[in-house]
Amino acid sequence: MSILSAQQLNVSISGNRIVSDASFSVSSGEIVALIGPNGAGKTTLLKAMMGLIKVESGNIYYDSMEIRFNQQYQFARYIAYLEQNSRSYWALSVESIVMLGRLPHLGRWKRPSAEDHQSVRNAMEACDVMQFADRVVTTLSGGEQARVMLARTLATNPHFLLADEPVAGLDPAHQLDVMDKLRDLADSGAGIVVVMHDLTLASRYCDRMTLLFEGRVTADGSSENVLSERHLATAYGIQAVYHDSDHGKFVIPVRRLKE
Amino acid sequence: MNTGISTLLIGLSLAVLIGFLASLSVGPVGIGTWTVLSSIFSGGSDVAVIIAQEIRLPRALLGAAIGATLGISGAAMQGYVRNPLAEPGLIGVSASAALGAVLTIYFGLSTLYIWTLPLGGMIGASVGVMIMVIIAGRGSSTLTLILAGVAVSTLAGALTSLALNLAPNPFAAVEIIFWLLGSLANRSMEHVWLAGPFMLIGIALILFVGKPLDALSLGEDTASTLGINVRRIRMQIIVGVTVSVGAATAVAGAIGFVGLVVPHLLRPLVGHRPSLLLPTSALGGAVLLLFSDVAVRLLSFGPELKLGVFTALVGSPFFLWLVLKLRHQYI
Repeated sequence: MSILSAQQLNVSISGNRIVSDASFSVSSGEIVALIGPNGAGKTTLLKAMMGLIKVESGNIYYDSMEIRFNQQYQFARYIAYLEQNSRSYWALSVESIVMLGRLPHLGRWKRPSAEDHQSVRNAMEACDVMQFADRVVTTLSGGEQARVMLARTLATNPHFLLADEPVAGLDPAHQLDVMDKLRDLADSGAGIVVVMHDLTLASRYCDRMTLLFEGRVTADGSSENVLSERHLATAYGIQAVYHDSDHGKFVIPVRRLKE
Repeated sequence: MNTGISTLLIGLSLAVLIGFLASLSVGPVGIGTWTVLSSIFSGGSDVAVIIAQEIRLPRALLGAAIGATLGISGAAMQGYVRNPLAEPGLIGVSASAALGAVLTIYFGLSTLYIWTLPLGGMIGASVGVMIMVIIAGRGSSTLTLILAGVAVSTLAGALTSLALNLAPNPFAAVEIIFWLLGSLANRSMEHVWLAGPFMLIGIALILFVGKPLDALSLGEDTASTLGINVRRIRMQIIVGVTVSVGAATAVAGAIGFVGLVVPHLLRPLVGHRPSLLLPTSALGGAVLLLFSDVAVRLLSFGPELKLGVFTALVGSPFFLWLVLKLRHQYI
């Protein structure tokens, strides 16, 4: 049982406070949805937790080990990160992209072993990109590329995965696929943070939710509590209707609240 | 590594060998390959021995080493900035090496000893290296680094122009211009000993960054979450490129286009993987420069055709053709 936590983080970019006094954590086996309106600081919080952005104050811990700015590379085997709109700058094959996910285990010199190839195959199958294995990634559609990038993070077999909008731009079937895959990963013991905007999908798949608004953690806990009328009104300025079904709770934004 | 890549590496290595032998065999004095080869390993003061050991051998060695330097540096820079337009001179080292060398001509130091000019180039290059290392060491972004490189290049270029502008006499001005055009003619073993070690060190440093460059295909943030110490890699690339390209420019002048075109040509053959592009571009650069240097010798009927002029003259139309042919691949 591991825990990845941020304690009272303050992050500013070019003098603007983006994340204020935010404490946040994820444990092995759970999926936490990080939600909030555009510009709430979700991506910044995620990057700060990965040691990719300098924090003004506050600490980030992977169990008892502190993750410092620019030191993330030391945790690469354990914590995977899926950047928002992740893409490849070169016309690499899908398989070689997914194989990059094994880099933390291989280091600079080791050649991929049978085990590495197996992890890559599993990840490609999980994300339904096996049929593209030899295709050049830049020739795929946006949604297909997003699945390739997710497969890359799965190939690492990480203990934690921080995914920034992994279902944005995917069709409904593949959104469900990806969430199922994240669920499987969590059930096999990994802790997952997923930034998303689809509140229904979030409440159906996630064990816990954290609502970020203007850089602060406004609500944290079960989807029931976090997606309350009051929270949705404050953070998003919307009114939603709620519906209980056999498939879980539905949250459908219906109206924008005027000031 | 699959068989295609191995075949490519073997093919390029053979081409380097053929180019090297061709470079040894061509010159104004008609001595054949075998005579040159046997003369290299024999003593004495026979004309053939002197030509082989003191003229042909350094020229061929420098052709191979400088070509390899330019090819691999181009591949490393393109991989690092993730842009096929990058070239070894991008971070200002070629221009500062050229300035150092030009200053020795300007002040009349180049005529004192054969090694003063390349040494001046090396000093110029080291100043350029230090500036870039200080900038990179502060954790600047890639874009800051490139812009700083442009500034350093422009300043060094302006100072070179100033030296031309204020040249004490027309002969010095002509000498500066000819040197700037880039050539391997009349280089000696002193040049090889002076620049060779730096080129080898630089090439070795760059060869070590293959996997990190692959990871950088996904951007710096993702690369560092894949276990890459991006800051250290950046420093290693800058030091490797500046040390090797600085040494190459110091002995041969500015030889354009090899560093840009060779990685570009080979990229599709290695599945666009930056790591595989490093060794192949080193070999490809050596091949291109060795054969170009043979060509300028065969084509020079009047004044010697400068190598730098030839590579750009032949390279540019070919590059344009390649760009147009592959235009649908660019996004």
